[in-house]
Amino acid sequence: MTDTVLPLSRSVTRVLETLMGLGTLSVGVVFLRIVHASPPPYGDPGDIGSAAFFPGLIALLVSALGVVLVLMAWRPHLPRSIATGQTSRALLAYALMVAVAAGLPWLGIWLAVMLAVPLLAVLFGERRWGVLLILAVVPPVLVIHLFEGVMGIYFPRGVLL
Amino acid sequence: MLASPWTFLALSAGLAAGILIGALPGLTATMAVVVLAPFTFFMEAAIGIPFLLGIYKGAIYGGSIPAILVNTPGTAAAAATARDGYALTLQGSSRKALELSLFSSVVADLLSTMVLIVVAIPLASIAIRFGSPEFALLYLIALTMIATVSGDNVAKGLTAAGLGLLVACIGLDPMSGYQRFTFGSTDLLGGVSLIPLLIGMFALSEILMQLTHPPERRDGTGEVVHGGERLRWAEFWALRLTILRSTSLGTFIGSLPGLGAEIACWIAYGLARGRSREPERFGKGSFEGLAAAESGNNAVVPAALIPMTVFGIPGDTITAVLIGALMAQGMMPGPLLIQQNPGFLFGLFLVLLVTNVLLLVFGLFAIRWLKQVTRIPPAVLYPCVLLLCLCGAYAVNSSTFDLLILAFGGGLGYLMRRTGFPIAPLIIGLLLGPGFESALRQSLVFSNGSLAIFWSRPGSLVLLSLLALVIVVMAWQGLKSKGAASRLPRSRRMKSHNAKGGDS
Amino acid sequence: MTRNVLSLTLLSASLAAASLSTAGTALAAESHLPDEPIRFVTPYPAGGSHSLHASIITAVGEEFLGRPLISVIRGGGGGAVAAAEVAGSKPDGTMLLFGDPTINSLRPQVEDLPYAMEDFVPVARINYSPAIFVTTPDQPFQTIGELVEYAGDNPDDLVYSSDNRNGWTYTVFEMLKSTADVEMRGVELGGGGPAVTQLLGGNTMAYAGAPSVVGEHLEAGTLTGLCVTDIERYDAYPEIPTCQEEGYDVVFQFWRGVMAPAGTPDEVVAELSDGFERMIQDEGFLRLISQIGSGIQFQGHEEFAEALATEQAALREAYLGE
Repeated sequence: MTDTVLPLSRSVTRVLETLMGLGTLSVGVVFLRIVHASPPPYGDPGDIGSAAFFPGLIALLVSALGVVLVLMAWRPHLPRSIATGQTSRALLAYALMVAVAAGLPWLGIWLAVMLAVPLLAVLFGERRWGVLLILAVVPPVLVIHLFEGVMGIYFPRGVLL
Repeated sequence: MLASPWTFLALSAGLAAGILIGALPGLTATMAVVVLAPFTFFMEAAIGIPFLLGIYKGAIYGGSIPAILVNTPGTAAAAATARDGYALTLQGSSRKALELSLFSSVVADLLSTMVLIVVAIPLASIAIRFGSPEFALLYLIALTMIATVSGDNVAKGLTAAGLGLLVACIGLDPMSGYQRFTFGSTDLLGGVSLIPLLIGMFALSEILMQLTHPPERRDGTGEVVHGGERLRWAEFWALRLTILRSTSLGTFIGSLPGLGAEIACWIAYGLARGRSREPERFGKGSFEGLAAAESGNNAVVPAALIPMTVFGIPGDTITAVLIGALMAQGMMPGPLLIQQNPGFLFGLFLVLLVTNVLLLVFGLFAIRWLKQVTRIPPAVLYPCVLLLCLCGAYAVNSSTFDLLILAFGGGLGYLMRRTGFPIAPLIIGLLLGPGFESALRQSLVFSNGSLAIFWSRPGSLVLLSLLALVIVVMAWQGLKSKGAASRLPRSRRMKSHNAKGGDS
Repeated sequence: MTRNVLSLTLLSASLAAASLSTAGTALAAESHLPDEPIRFVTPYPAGGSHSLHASIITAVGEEFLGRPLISVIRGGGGGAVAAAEVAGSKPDGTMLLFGDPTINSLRPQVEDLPYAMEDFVPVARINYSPAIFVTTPDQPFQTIGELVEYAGDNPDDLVYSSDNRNGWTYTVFEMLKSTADVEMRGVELGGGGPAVTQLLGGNTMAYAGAPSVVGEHLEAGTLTGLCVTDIERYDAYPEIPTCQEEGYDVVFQFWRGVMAPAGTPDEVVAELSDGFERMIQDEGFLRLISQIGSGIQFQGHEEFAEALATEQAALREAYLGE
């Protein structure tokens, strides 16, 4: 498979870079709007000693950089196109991470990690049942006991475990 | 104090435990010392205190191990280490990287301990004159290092830094009491937790990158080198000036109460790049970069004990906890300890020196096994990394909200790496933003609103000139390297970017 | 890797075994507490006197409460994050807040925080410290009277080290400013450590802090005590007058106490209060507390509730009644 090092086409790269620029711009604008809301919630943004000056300055900088990024995406010579890869697998793994992070308080530590560890292994291409079973049991038992036993961390318990 | 074999044993046990704890992402040196300090309340001072010092040192060093092996800094101070350390691992030189990091750490630690023993008192009396204006300028100097880690696209680097600085603004502002950008969330009142975000941006995004570009396919040969060669003496000797420079810098920053290893490693890294003959290798597996980052952050450890032993002032959170442990033993560190119990203090210094030798022994032993980590198939290694990240991120604050921050960091880190945004500037902004802002605003309260405070004090004038110098040198080198970079064939730049994904 | 993990487990097992002290003289069938560990939440970052006290309490507490105590250090928002979390937790005695006057009496009244004073029920007060106003020997004022006079002659010229807005030091200086009717400028430095550092370094001129923070410098002579914010002189430094003696009505006792979320059953609160009362009579506990330069001024849940209500009313009057 050589497609992993192939760059995306120039137009797709442009669109992606533009989107990143717009994303940056919107973050900057959201923060700017909060700082400059009326009445100013954190004091006068123009006063260098106030709580609003520094965030206001940074938000302005970020917004400006967002514009610069959008403009740069449409330069005649893009220096580098974004490399392609198996993005769908990574997105699946990311969905798994988000689900585990969000679901851990309800699932409890045991269930959450015993599902997450073998599932990620499956995404990495592991298909042997024995290995997956060992992965589901051994690392969680060791790590959770280490954290709870030595470090005195008390993990949330869920509905089942 | 070292006469008892128990002291020695406690020190060794602490050091081993410290290295392991530091190597686990999320379990920081601070946490290790905080959690284990109560155990020492019931031990003799000659056993309990060496145990804690061992943990402290071990954990700071241990943070570099996962940074090098799996691009996951175990502690915030190891974030700079991950850049070149992981790049070296990808090139099949993990053993060299681990050994270099160990040797730089030990040398820096040793030199810094000497400074502590010999010139603690004069150095501390200079350090204590440093007020908020000087701190603000030091932070500013550290922030200029963003330019050195931005890679070839300065706009993207600055954007990353700006986002980091914005995120750092979230939370309750201690000076004004305003709840800034909390969007009504209670959990954001304390700000975005740094360690979970850091682990997410480095470790989770690394897992996702591994899935996107599986290593076998990327190399094409299928034969991956494991561990690689040992570090040669000549290679290490060539770095002596870099290490010496970073060590002096780390020692100085460590002796300032309130500044820690997180800031020292980046200034040391930027300084080394500025002085390097091959700055273009930084971020792509430079020995100099790795040595500078590691000696910079390890030199801070003994130096942070300077304000503690001389004034009884904690240099950082860890030393604050150490002071607590010492107090529980009936010994209050500070001016009185030197007069009333000099024997204990010298015992303490001796323990610090012995810890260094032990760290070398333990480290070399650990590297024999650690270099095998690259042998573990990704399908086993990365799920385990995920497990450690989840547990570590939760453990920092015992907060389930931090797990969401972890996941957010992972997504953001992945997005940035795929689209060529460097991660390091964001981390620098996040680490240094709050310190810079509060130092700046405190200075203005001192001066009653006048900016003249930044050049009217002798210390701040020196630092201001230094800042100007740094900016001029950087601009000069930026112009120079731009010329050099354009001479590189385009295909080579492409390849180096894709193959050595550690440029983050 | 596996080898490392193996040695880790061995380590963890041995340390865990060491940590399990002889449990349960008080553990009896009639306990009203759920059978799980109690999370003892310190609302400030590690390294302060709060977390030091908490680490001692959690290290010895199991024997007296019949449940393992887990120390949870949850800094952020000047204590508001931890307070909000405990306030929203299940009120069954398994999550307790190590509170203080700023978190439980002052800030909920003057700031818009995600919890209210009424979200907590007091369990037990462990102790309190007064603040000691201090300065360095090279300042032009060496008594509290001279300080006020200096501030009166040079309005807004006197810079002092403060902690956080509505923090402890912040509050006592506000009290002094309003009783003496002078203007001074506070620099919020975020904690006792940096505050003392800036004072010793000559960047600020005064500070007020806990005896555990300033005590050693008083003994070494690098700081001068001006007055104590208590109704009587502090045992360890009897030569420092109280602020009231000097004519300034600044009394602020910074207590450290255990708070439970509102709605915790009365019998659970009583059981916990009794447990802490047994703990503060323990010799080992007292030895550790005295070694960190602290003492015990215990109040059970009923007595503490009364004192707390009085304090909250007084602060409401002082801050909002103006």
